[in-house]
Amino acid sequence: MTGRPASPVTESPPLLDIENLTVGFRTGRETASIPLQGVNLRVPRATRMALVGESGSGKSLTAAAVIGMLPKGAEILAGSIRLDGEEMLGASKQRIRDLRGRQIAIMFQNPRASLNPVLTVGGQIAEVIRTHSDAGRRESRRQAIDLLDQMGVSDARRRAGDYVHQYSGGMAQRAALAMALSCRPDLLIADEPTTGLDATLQQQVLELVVEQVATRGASLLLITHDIAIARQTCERTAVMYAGRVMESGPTASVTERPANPYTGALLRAFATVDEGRMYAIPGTVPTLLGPLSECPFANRCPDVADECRDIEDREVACVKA
Amino acid sequence: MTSRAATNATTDRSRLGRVVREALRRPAYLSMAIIVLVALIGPLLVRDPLEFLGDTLAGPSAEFWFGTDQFGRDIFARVVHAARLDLWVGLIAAALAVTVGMPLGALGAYRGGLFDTLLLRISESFQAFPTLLLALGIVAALGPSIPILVVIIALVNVPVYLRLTRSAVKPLVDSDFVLAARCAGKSQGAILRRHVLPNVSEIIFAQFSVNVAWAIQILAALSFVGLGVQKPTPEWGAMVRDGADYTIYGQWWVSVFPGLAILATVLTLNYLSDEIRHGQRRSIGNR
Amino acid sequence: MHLAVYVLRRLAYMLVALFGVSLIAFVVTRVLPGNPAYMIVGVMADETTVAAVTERLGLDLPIHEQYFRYVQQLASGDLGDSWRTRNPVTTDIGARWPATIELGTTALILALAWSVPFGIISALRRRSISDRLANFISGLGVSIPEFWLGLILLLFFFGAKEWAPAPIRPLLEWAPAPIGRTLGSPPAHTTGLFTVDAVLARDWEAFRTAAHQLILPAATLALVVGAPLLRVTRGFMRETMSSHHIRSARALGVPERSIVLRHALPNVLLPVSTMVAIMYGYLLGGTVLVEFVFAWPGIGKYAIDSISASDFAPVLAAVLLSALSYLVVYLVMDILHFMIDPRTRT
Repeated sequence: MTGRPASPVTESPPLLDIENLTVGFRTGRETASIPLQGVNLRVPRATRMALVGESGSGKSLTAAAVIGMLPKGAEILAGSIRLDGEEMLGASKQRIRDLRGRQIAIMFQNPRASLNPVLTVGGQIAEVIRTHSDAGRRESRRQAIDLLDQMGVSDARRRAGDYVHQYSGGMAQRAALAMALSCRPDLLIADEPTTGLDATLQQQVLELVVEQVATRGASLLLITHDIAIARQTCERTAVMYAGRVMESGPTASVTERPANPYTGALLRAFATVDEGRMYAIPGTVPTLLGPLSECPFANRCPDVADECRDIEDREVACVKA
Repeated sequence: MTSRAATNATTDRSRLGRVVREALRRPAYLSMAIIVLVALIGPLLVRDPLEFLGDTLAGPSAEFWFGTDQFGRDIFARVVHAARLDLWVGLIAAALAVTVGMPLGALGAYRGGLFDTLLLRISESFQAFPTLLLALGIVAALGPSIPILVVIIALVNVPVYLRLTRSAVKPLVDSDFVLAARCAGKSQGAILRRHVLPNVSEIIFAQFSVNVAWAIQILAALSFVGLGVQKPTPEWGAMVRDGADYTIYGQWWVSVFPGLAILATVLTLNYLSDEIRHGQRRSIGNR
Repeated sequence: MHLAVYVLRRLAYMLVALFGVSLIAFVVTRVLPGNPAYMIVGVMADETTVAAVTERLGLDLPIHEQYFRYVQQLASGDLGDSWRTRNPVTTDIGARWPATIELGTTALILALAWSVPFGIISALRRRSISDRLANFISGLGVSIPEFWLGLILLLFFFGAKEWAPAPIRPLLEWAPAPIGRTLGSPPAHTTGLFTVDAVLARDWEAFRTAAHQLILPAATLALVVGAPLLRVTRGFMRETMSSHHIRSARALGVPERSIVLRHALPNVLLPVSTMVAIMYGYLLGGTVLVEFVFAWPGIGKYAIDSISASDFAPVLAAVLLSALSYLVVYLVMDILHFMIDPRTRT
């Protein structure tokens, strides 16, 4: 791809490299909308990266594409997803299933719903372990209890035999984390892992995720709508809007010296009270019925200029940056 | 004036076209329309269902499409005449069941307390009750006239509506808009009529279609065992029974065609109910 | 909740429901016009005889006292006498219920064998041919009049003398005459289930005859009962397969086989088993129409013959038995759920 800004990490290939990922939804024979319009995203090894955006910006869909679990009707129109240099798009089902859990793992929001109600929590973790290693029943069960213990589940031996309805929300998220990390993945994708938890629990779970990912030398792709969470937990941040990555870089520079007016607007919206009232970005998110020829933020941007209206063949990370 | 009439005609035609296209897309509606049409005007076009025409137990032919029965009556004419009776009984019985069951269920959910518990227990007892035996017992006692059949079939359908309305109304009772109406001092009846029932009407409609089907099945079953519509009135279930002995020895047409009529009608009504439900989901999705 | 408390509460509910059923049935059968005493002694009997019988039956008492007497009798295990068969109703039912149990159980096993696997497979392959077929068959199965279906099966496998083309003929050889269980001699009585008794007695000829007579009515019921089971299985399987926990397990690479068998199936079988219980309860109460078509000498046939003869003690007994079997099967399934489903344990 030409016009791609030079990445600061150039020595070894990044762990996850998404290039120009374009995903469309079709109804019947026509493509009805294009919610991902050429996403570019690189997650280096042993790095925590936040993917920030409003709802509908395409961040969860990006994650779904990475693990090869796009919803029904969605299809990849262009682009590539490389994991550790290996192309994932077009890989065999067997290969992708093999990589899931072992190389990439994901934890979803709503941990209670993502654990099976009729199987024991420990049994579910042990099964994932058995799937990806030659550990036997006894060994995998021992490992599952160890993992629960590491995640701070007290009395892990007993709790492993419990069912998810017996877990509190925070405990269930710990169990989901244990299951996701059970096979030492290189990349953990956490999709809004703390929505629905109260503030103190949210803090605890985030700290635990950061700590566990760090001790395992894995990378984290944290999907969130809350830029404050990104600032707290991740070294790098990418900001998504309307199916594109608007800006990405070290969290400190993105949040303190935003290069893209959208990031600036988002930060202002989050800085709780500004002169006694909330700041809201004027206008609405565009509906992505086809490929856009202008910057997606052009209609809401405070600094919009003529060249913003024609960005074909250009990377969109703002022409003015 | 003329031009206005012309535009009216074209819009009417395009509306008709839309109706036809829609009907083809939803075969349940089309099939229902055909059945209703047969029931309404069919009896005017066919032979007398009670007349003995000579040839007994003649197979289907160009003259007698569905053959003749053991008395030489035209089975096709009988099936068409029976359509009117079966649909009427089904419709009226289901309508009667709604008018009794729906307000009772809504009132139970709205009032709560002992009244509600009592209703619930009674309808639960009905669930354990062998419906057909109940219907049979009452018919045996009171005699199988058509009004009595309608009432009995309606009666065994009441608990269905009662439970359905109750479970649909229950969550609405605690909703804010009902609370607001209560605070505004509206009467219980007015709140139920204006605020609660319109919200559950679509569920009831879908169920209504199923219940018409069920009512027809019960009527046919009662007639089949000899305690429903009596000879010589044509009714599908009774016709299946009349032909049973001949059917198993090879004169299949006597029972097969009336049975097919039951199957087609009930199947259509059941699919119609699915369509109503799906259409409802679609319109909610578009909202 | 403690299991014993739970069972006790359910038993209490059951008694209330039974009370309701008996009350409804009693009122329906007693409010009827006509004096049953005439049925017993005949219309030509003189008035004193009629009066004597009326008094013996308590028919001259107010209705609530009649009901009270009836409940008292029930409590002592007396269901009254049938004037049609001139036997105590308990004797009649003892002779007929095994036939209903045999038919109902066989039908349920057949129904489960086709509907549950079919429902699961069709839910896994959405919009495939098997999915469409499942949709069609379940629609057909709930709409088809069961008495007519039985008749059609008889037509195909027994009758069709002039109409039947050649290929059907050989099938006729193994189909029975439509006269219930009276062909041949019944096997030595142990359980009252002819097929089971025949196997116990190692009487293979009797087994062949019994199975022979059982197959058509059981097949009819298996389709009628299997259709809603298919529908429910398919619905729950679809719902489960699109649930969050299945998505999670997939995202962590759990193989598809285990997703279906270990993760999804238990979530589906729990609710489906409730439906199975309802169906079995219904079957054990005597399926009036199918027993009538096939002249199967079970409870349903007994009830309908009694109704036609205005013989009300057996009708009341059949209604109670029917309700009781429904409630008991449902209760047993409920208790099993309570013990199996981890969500009810805390």
